[in-house]
Amino acid sequence: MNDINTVEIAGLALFFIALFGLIARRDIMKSILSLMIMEIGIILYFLGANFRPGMVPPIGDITNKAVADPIPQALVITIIVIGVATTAVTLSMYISMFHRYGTWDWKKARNNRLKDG
Amino acid sequence: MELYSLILAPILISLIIYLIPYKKINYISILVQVGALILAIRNLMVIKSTGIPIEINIGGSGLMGISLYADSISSLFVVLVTWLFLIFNIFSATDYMHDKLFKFLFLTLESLIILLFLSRDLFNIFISIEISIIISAILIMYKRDSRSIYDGLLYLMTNTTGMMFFLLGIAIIYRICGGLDIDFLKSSISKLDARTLVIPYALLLAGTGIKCAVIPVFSWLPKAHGTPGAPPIVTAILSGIYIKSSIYLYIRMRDMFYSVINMDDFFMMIGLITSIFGFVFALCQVDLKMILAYHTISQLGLMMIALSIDTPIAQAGGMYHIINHSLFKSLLALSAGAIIKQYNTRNLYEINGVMKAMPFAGIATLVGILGITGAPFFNGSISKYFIQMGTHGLWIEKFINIINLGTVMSFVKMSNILFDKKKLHPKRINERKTQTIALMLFSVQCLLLGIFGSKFTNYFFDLNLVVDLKLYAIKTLYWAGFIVIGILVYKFVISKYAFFKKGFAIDLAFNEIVVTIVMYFFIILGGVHYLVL
Amino acid sequence: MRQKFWAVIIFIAFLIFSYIYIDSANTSSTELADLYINNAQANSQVQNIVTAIYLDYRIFDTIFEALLLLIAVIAIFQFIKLEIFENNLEKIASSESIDFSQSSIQRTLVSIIYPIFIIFGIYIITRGTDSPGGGFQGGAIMTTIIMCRYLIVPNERYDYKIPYTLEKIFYSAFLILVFIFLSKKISFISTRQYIQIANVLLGIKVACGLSAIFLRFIYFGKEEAEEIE
Repeated sequence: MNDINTVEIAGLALFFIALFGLIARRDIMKSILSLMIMEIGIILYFLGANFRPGMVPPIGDITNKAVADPIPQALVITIIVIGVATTAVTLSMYISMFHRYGTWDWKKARNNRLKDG
Repeated sequence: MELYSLILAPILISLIIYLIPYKKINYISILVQVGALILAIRNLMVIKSTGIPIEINIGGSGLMGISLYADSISSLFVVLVTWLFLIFNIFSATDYMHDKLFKFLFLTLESLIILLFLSRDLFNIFISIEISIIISAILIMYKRDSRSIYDGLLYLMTNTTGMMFFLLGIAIIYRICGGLDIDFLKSSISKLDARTLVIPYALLLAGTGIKCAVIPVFSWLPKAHGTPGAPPIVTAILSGIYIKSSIYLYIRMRDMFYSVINMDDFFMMIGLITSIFGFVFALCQVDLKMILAYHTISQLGLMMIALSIDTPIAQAGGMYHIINHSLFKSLLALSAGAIIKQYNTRNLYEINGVMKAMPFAGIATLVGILGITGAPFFNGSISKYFIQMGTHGLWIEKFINIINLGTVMSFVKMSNILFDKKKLHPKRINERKTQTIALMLFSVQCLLLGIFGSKFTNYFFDLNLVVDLKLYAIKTLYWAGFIVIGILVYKFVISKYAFFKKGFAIDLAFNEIVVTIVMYFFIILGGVHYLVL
Repeated sequence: MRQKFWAVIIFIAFLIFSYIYIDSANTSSTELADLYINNAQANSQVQNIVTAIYLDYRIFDTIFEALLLLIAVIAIFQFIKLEIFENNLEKIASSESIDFSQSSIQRTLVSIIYPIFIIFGIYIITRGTDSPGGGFQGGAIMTTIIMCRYLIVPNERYDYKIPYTLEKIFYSAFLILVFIFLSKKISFISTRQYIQIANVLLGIKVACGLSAIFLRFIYFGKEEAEEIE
């Protein structure tokens, strides 16, 4: 019980808040925002794993000190870039779809799509 | 040449082709693909002759760095990928391949699927899946049809949500075990207790399940694979080879956790329900592409059943079925695409007399249907025979026959297009040469892999099986019986009720799809809790 | 009403999840991290272990991450087609390059601060080997070159095809460099120099890609304004 990081719990809480946003909000823009928040929650979780206060960053002279884990930091750079690229593509797809179907709501868009055949 | 050049060279060369504004350079892409195919075959032969898998470590040594690992099974799949992409290139060499951007995306997708088969690092697999999701979404929307834009957006967001679950699973398992390499994780998981691994197991398998389109999270697949505005080659890539990489991911994940958490019965049940739902929905469709898409779901369920059984014969049957299904699903998708383009309609009941009007496409479709239903001498029968042998003695054996019957019925419905029901005597339409060559190549392969099926399986999967002729003859009788039942059921039940003629589907909006994803995650969580702990 | 129902369900789900999660909270292992902390600085001759990881040990991840940015830029150009823009490129760029209707405070201050952004970007890219920084981070900062220029002279003609093509050229150069490095046959550059050159190439590539997206969207807004009028 005493090994749990508050950073990890915060990351998991953000993940679940974003899940709520994906389920309960019908606006497409809010779904895209929820995906971003989900990814940020995972990044927080990654960075908080194996971290104890008083660790130094893995740069420079690190002999005889407790060093923070360098792998999550490298992975998180990649995850942030992936998140940016996915959000950019999703947003531009949303703009295209908005111009064709004229709605920002998932249910109305589905109905328009079914009418379209 | 090293393994990484198989992955990086197509990307680099297609990028350079894109940048140089010279027109004739287009044909270099076929050379690139032939080169990749030769390299893949050479790797396979080397591995088979020496018995030692090829492993290279990029960047570091040992645990540091990313390793690529080619054993006999994954290099067989790499040969399959390169061969299929080469035939797809030949198929549309005259229309889509002249667009340089399309060619760049096509070759990059090939490299990414090869990376997924060869990589041994969990985070690398995650990156390759993410990029291939985005590339396939761009390819689905390539013609910018309004319907494809909605389908593409839904596909992209559903799969990204699934991959977020997968990523959280990677994060938790990194924290628990301290590494990212699959071999290292396998050995360090075997030292742990099942209680600690419940959450990462459920998350990783929920992400994999969403990619494999099982019940209840399959809603994205009919939209993505059956979308009306996508070019036919894109549908063939997606349903022929891309979905197989998700099943391969399932094999890997199951193998990684097998020593601690064994949920084979649970996944057999899920595979069974998926198969049954798949063909029931396929029977209710009138759109040619939709029948194929729903049928893919059914076959994925069958593959999941076969791969969840622990005996070597069932595993070999499952993997052989993956190869066969790629071949005949791509064949059916390509011929369906050619037929739809000529007739300008997707409705099954409006297309008729294909055998007379477009004989090559008609023969190709017929070969595909024979293969997929399990006709004797075609490859489908051998893999289904092995799966049936593998389920011998388990509770699921009786249900395999139901799944085969369902497959036959849905394809009897589809074979409506081949014959001239309305007696219209259509005239012969000119087909494109490149398309014909591609389709004929596929058909010949299906036949060859059927006749030499058991030799093929024995050589590549290290088994010593002999197809028992008596049992095989019994299976052929079953097949003939199913065809008769299928035709009877079709004539008296399906064509009478308007329900089956209208086209019925469950169309979920995005919020409901996420509800099903969360439900699936908690079902797996509950399953692990009650079955394993 | 519906939303409160789902909020309660998600909250209960979170509680179940945390309850099961606490079981696995005590196990952790730092095997791979210790390997990197002990060996990375000596093997790759740079002081920043994180840069060594994403450019030397896990170079494969970085290649595909940069490829993903390239494909995202292609996707944005595919989905947002500006047929009107392509025909009326001359009409949209007006004769006067300075738009006097915009705030002159903004114009003056941005022209003073703008060189500091460039120096900061170059600093972050090139100091990636020994202190926090790197290609991706610095590249995102270097995009401000085009953004600041747009804020100062918005009516000039910006061709979005130039960064679009430049990005691919720099990415091909980066791939060729990685290929040479991975084959280990040519050893005239040491690992440290390879990491520095790779950082610079990555930074310029990311800057070009993000500038292409920015330039695509500034004309998108203008086209909508034209349509409404």
